[in-house]
Amino acid sequence: MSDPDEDLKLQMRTLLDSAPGVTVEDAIRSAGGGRVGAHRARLAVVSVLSVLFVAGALLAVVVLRPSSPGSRSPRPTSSTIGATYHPRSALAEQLDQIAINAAAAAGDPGIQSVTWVATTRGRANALMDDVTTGCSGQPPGCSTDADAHIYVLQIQGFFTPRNVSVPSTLAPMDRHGHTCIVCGTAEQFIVSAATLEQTGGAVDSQLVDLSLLGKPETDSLVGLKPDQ
Amino acid sequence: LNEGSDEEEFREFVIGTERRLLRALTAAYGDQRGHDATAAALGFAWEHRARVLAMDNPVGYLFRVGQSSVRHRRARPVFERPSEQERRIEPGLTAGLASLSTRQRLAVMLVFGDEWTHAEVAELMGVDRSTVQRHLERGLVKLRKALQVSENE
Repeated sequence: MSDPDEDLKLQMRTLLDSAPGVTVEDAIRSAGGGRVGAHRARLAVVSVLSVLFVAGALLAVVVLRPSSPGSRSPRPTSSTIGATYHPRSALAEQLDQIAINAAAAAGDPGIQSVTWVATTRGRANALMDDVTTGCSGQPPGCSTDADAHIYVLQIQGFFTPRNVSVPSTLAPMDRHGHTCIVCGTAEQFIVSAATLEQTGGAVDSQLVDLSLLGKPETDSLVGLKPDQ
Repeated sequence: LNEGSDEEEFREFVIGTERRLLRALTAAYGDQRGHDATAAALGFAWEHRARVLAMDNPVGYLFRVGQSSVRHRRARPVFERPSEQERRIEPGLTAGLASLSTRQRLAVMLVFGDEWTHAEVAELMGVDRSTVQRHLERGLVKLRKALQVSENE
């Protein structure tokens, strides 16, 4: 009777002997162009592709970075205004409502977002003109104090503010082809941090880079209705 | 003259190492891939002969070179069944061996099947002898279970 272990060993040896031998000539032939070479070539290709992928991703980040002020896109997004969307705080909700009301008053209730930044009147004055930051009509809480805390809001759309006198010959056309008094695709206005009252504003065709005043925030206004 | 001398030295090296390297890589990856891996490893040895021939453990080093050449191709080891004229192979043996981990299969086939010492396999695999023993024991248990035989049978 045969030993099963010995039988198993013999079978394994048979299997080990089943591979054809490798001669010196085989080895020299496989050198360089052999599987190790092919494997290295594949690794090189994978490495190059990885580098290209990373470079492409970096390029995409650079291209999709916030655009410079002056962009004329009629519908702003978070990436075109220079801020990120964030959960709406109670303050943001109030500023959002102010923005949608101001947009509706300026003739475009369909704006998609608002970008705002907390800053001081002095810093805003340095960046924007006096008309924008001035306390027109001196509403309660308005202050010309350079250290007064304010919020600068910026919206983008098609705006035709009322109560502005401009000769009709100078008036440009609005999006419907009608003459408008002052047309613009960007509006900036100032809100007092103390009273949340609007204290100034201007329509322009150029966006202001609010990141020069602080860290801007952008809120979506989709679904928000202006107050009646 | 140098090229001829190099080739002669390399030929002696291949005669001394090819069988062990081929058996180790066959145990790990099956006969066809084991053959390919051995050819790739010896091709590498020819390219870097000055360095490889001076090594203390060239078989262990070339074993890892051979592993690198086939590792990216995920496939179970395949042992072709010998022809009828050759020794009879238990029907479940090749599948049973394929079901072991590579290290278990190396320990079982080389220590148990080909009478390598634990130290030789440990040197090849770059592990200590107790690890080889553990792989051997677990591999044999698994293989016997696959073959439905007991140690005393």
